Amino acid sequence: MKPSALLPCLIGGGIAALLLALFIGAAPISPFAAIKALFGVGSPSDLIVVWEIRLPRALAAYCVGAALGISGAALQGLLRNPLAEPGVLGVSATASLAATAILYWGLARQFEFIMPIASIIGALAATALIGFAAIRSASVVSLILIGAALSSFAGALMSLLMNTATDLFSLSDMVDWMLGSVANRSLGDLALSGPFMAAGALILLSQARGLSALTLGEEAAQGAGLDLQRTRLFVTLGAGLAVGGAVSMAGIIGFVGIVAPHMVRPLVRHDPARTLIPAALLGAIMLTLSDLLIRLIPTATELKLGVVAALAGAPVFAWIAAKRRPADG
Amino acid sequence: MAELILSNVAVAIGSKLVVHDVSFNLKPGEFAVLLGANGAGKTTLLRAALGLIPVQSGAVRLDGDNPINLKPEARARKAAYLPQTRPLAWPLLVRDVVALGRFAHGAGIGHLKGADAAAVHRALESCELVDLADRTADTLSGGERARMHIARAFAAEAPLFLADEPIAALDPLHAWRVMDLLAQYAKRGGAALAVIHDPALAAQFASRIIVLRDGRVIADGAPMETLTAGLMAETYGVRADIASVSGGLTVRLSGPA
Repeated sequence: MKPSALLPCLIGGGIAALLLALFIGAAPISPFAAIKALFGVGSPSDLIVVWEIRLPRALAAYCVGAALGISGAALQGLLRNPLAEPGVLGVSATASLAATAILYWGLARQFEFIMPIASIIGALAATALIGFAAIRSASVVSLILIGAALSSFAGALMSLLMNTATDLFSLSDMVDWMLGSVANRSLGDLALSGPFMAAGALILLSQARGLSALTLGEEAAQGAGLDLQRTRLFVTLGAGLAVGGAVSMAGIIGFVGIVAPHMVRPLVRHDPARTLIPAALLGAIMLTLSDLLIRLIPTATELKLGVVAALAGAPVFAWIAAKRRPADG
Repeated sequence: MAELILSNVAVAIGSKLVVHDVSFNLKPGEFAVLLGANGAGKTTLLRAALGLIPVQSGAVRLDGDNPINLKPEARARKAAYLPQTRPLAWPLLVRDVVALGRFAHGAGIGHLKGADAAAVHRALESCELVDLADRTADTLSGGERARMHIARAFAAEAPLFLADEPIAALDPLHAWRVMDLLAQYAKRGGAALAVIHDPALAAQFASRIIVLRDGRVIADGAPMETLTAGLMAETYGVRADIASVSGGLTVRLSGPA
């Protein structure tokens, strides 16, 4: 595919995926009726299905996929490794731990804004830790191991909270968060988390050129004029905001941040700057379609989006790790 | 035309003083080679000259400014830098790697315009990379890759050029070509400072040789005057026979001093 055809294809694919998610579902609504309902015309039940069930859910999957895709691409550029990703680096798990703690103490019902803010603080704490470790350690392998440890530790703390939870409702909410899901989201939820994801994505885009320069390694990039501290700070902040926003919306959803950038990278000539937007758009399509698939698979309890993403993504992660070779021969 | 001035510079890594009391001026048109054994403080000196690490005492002036106070982009427009290790995280096109040399001019790779595109083309041409420009970097040989990194630094078209071991791991022909590129850069009015481990090539191409031992300058001058058997013994601990031939020096090693 020509690089110039990539963006139109991804944008068109995204619109098609969103429309499919509006057309298909348990309630029998024709595509035409769904489109009419989207413009506020049609029976009250059609309006409710489209505006309160299908649209928020599809948009949530789309935005979360985009936030995870762009964060993965940016973290890979910063750490110069295709295996760096919010899930692998423990950022999603730490954000989710913060959200779980809020649920555990029942604070979410009192303060609307507390979920995204707690998730973002968790995500920022984890990205800052990884960013700090990156300054001290030259080895990306050790960073990924630190991320794995962070992920396990956050997972253990979440298990502890679930283990000691007495309120069944908050327990069920916590399970939702750990498994990752966009079911039953409202446009209000999106309005709460969306701005954080958007702000994070904009900050990451502002660092695009620096991510390209980092291809040369930190010393040569600095020699070429890169303000390394500033780039580290802003990529950490941007990824923290975007992943925190995504987790507050959907809980832990792994591997999108690895698979989407990996697939678009050869199409943008491996330039980290030009990977960002296509990775976001592809991540968005992947999660929108995965969530649609979940709704269609006839299981007694609906599968969780995070579970499906991990089932598909983990083998790809292993494959990328096994095939990896350095670009400098 | 920019000048690099070091006055009584001392640099510490942690608590260890690695560079002591180094002073020299590098002027436009000069191609100076920095010689010295491994661990003599050459890389540290280059980093301090660029303001990438702070000096313990003394002063560095890059075109009149203390480089550590300059914004990274402003500093990079004054001095191009080719570090010793040259990792490449992604298999970019050769053209795109060279385009990264225009970072300090605000260019983004993949959509170069005007002056940036012209500078990249000149750098590709001078390093004989035009035919390889649309290959990915991971398909190049070691010598081609070395030229690509040099072209990247050239593309900045900065008045100063600091190169750390630009000819390490190159075969004789490629090493000769790279030295020739640096000499031509100086002839065009640039000031180049390169760390090299080959005294014979240094004598042939450089206009000036600065020798570092245990972080101190022990010799500084034209190759003919600087490179002596005594200096080779003191610097590297080798016994060397040095003879002057037309246009340069021959250096033959005959064992440990």
